[in-house]
Amino acid sequence: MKSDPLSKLEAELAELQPCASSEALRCRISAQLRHQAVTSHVRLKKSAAYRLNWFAWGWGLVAVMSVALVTSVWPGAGENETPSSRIIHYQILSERDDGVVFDETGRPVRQVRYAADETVRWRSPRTGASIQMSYPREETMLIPVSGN
Amino acid sequence: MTESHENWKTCFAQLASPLLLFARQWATSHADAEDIVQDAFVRFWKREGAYTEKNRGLLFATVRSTALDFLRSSGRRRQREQMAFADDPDLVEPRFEPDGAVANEELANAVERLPAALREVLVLKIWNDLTFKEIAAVLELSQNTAASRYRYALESIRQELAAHEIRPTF
Repeated sequence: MKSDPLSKLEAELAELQPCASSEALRCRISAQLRHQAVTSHVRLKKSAAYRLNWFAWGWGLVAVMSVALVTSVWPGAGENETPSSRIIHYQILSERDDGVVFDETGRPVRQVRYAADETVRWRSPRTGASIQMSYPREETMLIPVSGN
Repeated sequence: MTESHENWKTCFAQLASPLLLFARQWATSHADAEDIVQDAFVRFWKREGAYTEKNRGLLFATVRSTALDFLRSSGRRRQREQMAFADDPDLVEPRFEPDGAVANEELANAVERLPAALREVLVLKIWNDLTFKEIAAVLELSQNTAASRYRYALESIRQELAAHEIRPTF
């Protein structure tokens, strides 16, 4: 029986193992998706919301000032070239499960609080220049609880 | 949301390494490829919310478009990429885990030396299990072109190995 030499080559190629991804990459993606989930899906209880709002406003102000700084430092950066941001480091320092609570609509949800260190890098698409900033972060997640 | 979150973890566990290999078409370092995959993953999940057999090709297309954005983002970086690919393959970090076997090292080197247009088809077919139809959609080619590039890639590798007499049987 004659085997196709290219099939044999395909099989040998498939044996090569691509370089593995790092744990840091998984953590960074997880942080970014969690952050997205928190901002788009989670409704905070009023008391918690007030605390987070102050926190969010503070960091929002810092972010706006950073972008303003970037656009003033990089000539032309404000002309359709918004710096892109990326979380480059995210480490959860502590996690606290507050158990089941009820949200504003009376729906049971599990409340989990995270404290983390986060580093975000802004990069100018035109020049490649970048700045990065690290800061502590607190997040409260409300995860819907199944009634089954 | 929780289900979607778990879905991305499963998807990441299965696809991270081959996706990184795909992203390496446009990046000389593993770290740059990880940045591309991170951005692509987040963009994909923001838009799709879950990974299924139906949107599999879209994930790869997202990695590709993110990588092209990444290349466009810096002229200097692009110059470095082109220099590394064209002139000095030794500057490029390895794409495969070294296993110590000389034959496999030669095989990996032969993949490195393929023209980019052939290598991206090979990477999608061999290590990501995409069909020619899916590859054609990701790379915006006709199905026939994808299939013939794949064939050329295998032929090129076979000829290079034969020239180095590593695999005299091919």
